[in-house]
Amino acid sequence: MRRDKQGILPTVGALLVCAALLGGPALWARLGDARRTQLVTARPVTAGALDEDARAIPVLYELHAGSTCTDPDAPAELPEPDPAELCAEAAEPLAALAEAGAISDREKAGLDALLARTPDQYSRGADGSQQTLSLLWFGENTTAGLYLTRQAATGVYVFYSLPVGGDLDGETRLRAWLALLGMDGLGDWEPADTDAPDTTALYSAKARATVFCTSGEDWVYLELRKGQPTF
Amino acid sequence: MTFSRKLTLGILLLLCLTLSFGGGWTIDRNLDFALQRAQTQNAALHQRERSALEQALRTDGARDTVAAARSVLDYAAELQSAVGAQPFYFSVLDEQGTTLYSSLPAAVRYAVQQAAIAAGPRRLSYTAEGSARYMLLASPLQGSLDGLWLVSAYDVAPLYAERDRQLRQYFLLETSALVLAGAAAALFSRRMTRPLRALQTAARSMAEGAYDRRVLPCGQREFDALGQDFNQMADAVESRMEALRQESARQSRFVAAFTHELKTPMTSILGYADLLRMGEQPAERRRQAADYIYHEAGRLETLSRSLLQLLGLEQEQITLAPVAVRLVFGDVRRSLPEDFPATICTDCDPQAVVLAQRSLLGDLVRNLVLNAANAGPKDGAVHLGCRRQGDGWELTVSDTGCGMAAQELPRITEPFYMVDKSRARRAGGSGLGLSLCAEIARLHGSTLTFVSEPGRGTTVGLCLKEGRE
Repeated sequence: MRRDKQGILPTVGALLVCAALLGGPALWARLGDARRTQLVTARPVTAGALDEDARAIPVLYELHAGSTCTDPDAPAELPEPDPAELCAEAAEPLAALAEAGAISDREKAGLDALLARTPDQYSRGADGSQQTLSLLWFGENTTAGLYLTRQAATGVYVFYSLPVGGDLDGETRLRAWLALLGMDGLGDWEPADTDAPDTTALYSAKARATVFCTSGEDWVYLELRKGQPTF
Repeated sequence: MTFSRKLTLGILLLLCLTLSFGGGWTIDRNLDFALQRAQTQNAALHQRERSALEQALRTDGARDTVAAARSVLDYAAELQSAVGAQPFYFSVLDEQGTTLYSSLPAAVRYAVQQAAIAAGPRRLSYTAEGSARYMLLASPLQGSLDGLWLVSAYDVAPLYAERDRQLRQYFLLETSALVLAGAAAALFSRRMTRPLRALQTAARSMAEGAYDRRVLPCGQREFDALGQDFNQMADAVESRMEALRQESARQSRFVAAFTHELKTPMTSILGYADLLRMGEQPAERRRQAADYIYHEAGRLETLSRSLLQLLGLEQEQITLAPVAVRLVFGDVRRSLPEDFPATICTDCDPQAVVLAQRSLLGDLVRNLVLNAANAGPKDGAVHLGCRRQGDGWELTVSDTGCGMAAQELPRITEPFYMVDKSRARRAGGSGLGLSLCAEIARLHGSTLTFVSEPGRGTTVGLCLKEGRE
C-alpha cells in the first residue's frame, strides 16, 4: 500500500509531462511563427524575368521593356537635317567607342577623316523607341556608309555599322563595347555559336541578350539584340 | 512504482515524445512548403504587377513625383475596377520614402515597408499583426522616374489558418492515439509482468516459511529460465534449511546431553561432599564418600578430555601417510588393559597399507574395540578385519554382542548419545567415543558404516585409500 502511494507521484508527474507534450506541436508552431516573422529570405526567381542586375542597367531594361528595333534601314520621316550637325552627332559615340577600345586608333582616325567630309547622302529616322542616323560617302568605286541606331529612351547606341578595316578581332571589340555600355559587370558574357561566318557573338543569360560583331574587309557591325544568337 | 506501471509510462512518454515532435515537425514543414509555394506564386504576381506598373508609368511619361503618383492612382483604379480582379495590396514610394500611393492594409506599417525596401529586390519578408499575416516583396520601378519602389503585400493568413486547423486536428488524433496506446501498453505490460508477479508471490511465500513453494512455467522463454533458476534456488534453500534444522536439533540434543552428563557426576560429588562437611563420619562411610567423589571427578575429567579432543579434531587438518594396517591393529592390541574382557581376533591382509595418520587411526580402532567388548559378545571375542575394497581397504570391527535397533543407528555418532545409558556408564563411557571415531573417519576422508541387529551383534566398517603408490 505504501509502495503504491510512493508510485503515485512519479505516475502523476509522467502523465503531466505527457499532457504537456500534447501541446508540443502548438508550441513548436508558435516558435516557428515568431521565427518567420523576423525572417528575410531569398525571393524565388520568376521564370522569364530579367535578372535584377541586368534590370538595373537602363539599356538592357529598355531593350526588354520597349519595342526596340535594330533595323538600320527603318524609314524615318523627319525634317531634312544639317549634314554637319549629323557628323558631329556621330563623332561623339565613335569617340567613346575608340576610347573604350572597340575600334583602333587607326580606325578612329579613318572615321574622323570621313566625318570631316560632308556626306553625300544622309538621313535621320525614328520609330518611337529608336532613332537612326545614316551617313554615306560615295567614292569613285566605293561607298563608305555609317549607320548608327540608339534607344530613344536612354540615348544609348545599340547598333553600329562602321566603314573600318579589321584591326581588331570581334571578341575584343565586343568586350570593349560591353564595358562602354556598363554591362560587363554582369560577368556571364560567354561566346556563343553562330551559323553566320565572320560573326562573333557573346551571350549573357542574366541579360538575356546577345552582342554581335560581324566584320568584313572594310566594314564592321556591332549590335545588341535581346534573346539568344539565332539568325 | 511497479515495473508494469513504469513500462506503461515509459511507452506512453516515448510515444508522446515521438508524436509530439514528429507532429510538430511535420506540420511546421507543411507550412514551410505552403509558404514556399506562395513565395513562388507571389514573386511571379509581384513581377507581373511591377512590369504592368512600369508600363503604365512609361505610357504616361511620368517624369516627376506628381505625375508618377497620378499614374499610379490611375493604374490602381483601373486594377480595382477590373472584373474579377483579386485584391492587390501595394504601395509606391519615392526615393525620399514618400508614399505616392498605398492600398496596403493597416497591419503593414510604414516601417515594415521600409524594411522590405531595405531587403532589396532579391529578398522577401513577412509581417504579422494579430491574426493578419502578410508576405512582403519590394522592387524598384524602372523605365521612368528614378527611385520609385513598389511594395506588394500578399495575405498568407489562410496558410496559417490551415496550419492551425491541422494542429487542432492533430491534437485530437494525438490524444486519441495516446489514450488507446496507454490502455494497450497497460494491458501489455501487465500481461508481460504476470510471471514476475507470480515469482514475487512465490518469493514472499518463501520468506514467510513456505519453502516448498515453486513457480510454474508461463511459456515465455526468459521468464521460464528465471522461474527455473528460482525453483533451483528454492530447492537449495529448502535443503539448506532442512540441514540447518537438523543441525539445530543436533545442537539442542548436544547441549541437553552435555548438561545431563555434567549434572549427574556433579550431583554425586555435591552430595558426598556435603556429607563429609556435616561432621565426623565413620571411616568406612568417609572412604566410600571419597571414592565416589574421586570416581565421579575422574569421569568428569575423562569427559572434558574427550570433549576437548573432539573439538580439537573438528578444527584439525591432518597429514596422511602410508600405514600398514597390521601395525595399527598391533598398537590397539598393546594399548588394551591386561584385564580386557574380550579376546581380539585379527584377520588382516599382511599387504594392507592405507593412507592414514597412525595414532588417530589407532584411537579410532581402539574405541570401536572397547565398544564391541562392552556389547557383551557371546563368543567373548572382538574381530578385527581388513580386506580389499575396490582400490582401497575396508577395516572392520565386529562383535556378536547385544546389537542395536535400526532406528538407533543414524544417531549413534552424535555426542553423548548412548543406546543403553546405564550399561555405558557402568563401563565408564562418556557418550563421545563414536563421535570421536566419526570425526577421525571424516579427517581421513571417509565415514563409518554400521551394520547391526539386536541380539546378533554389530559390524562397524571404515573404507580407507590404498597407501602404496
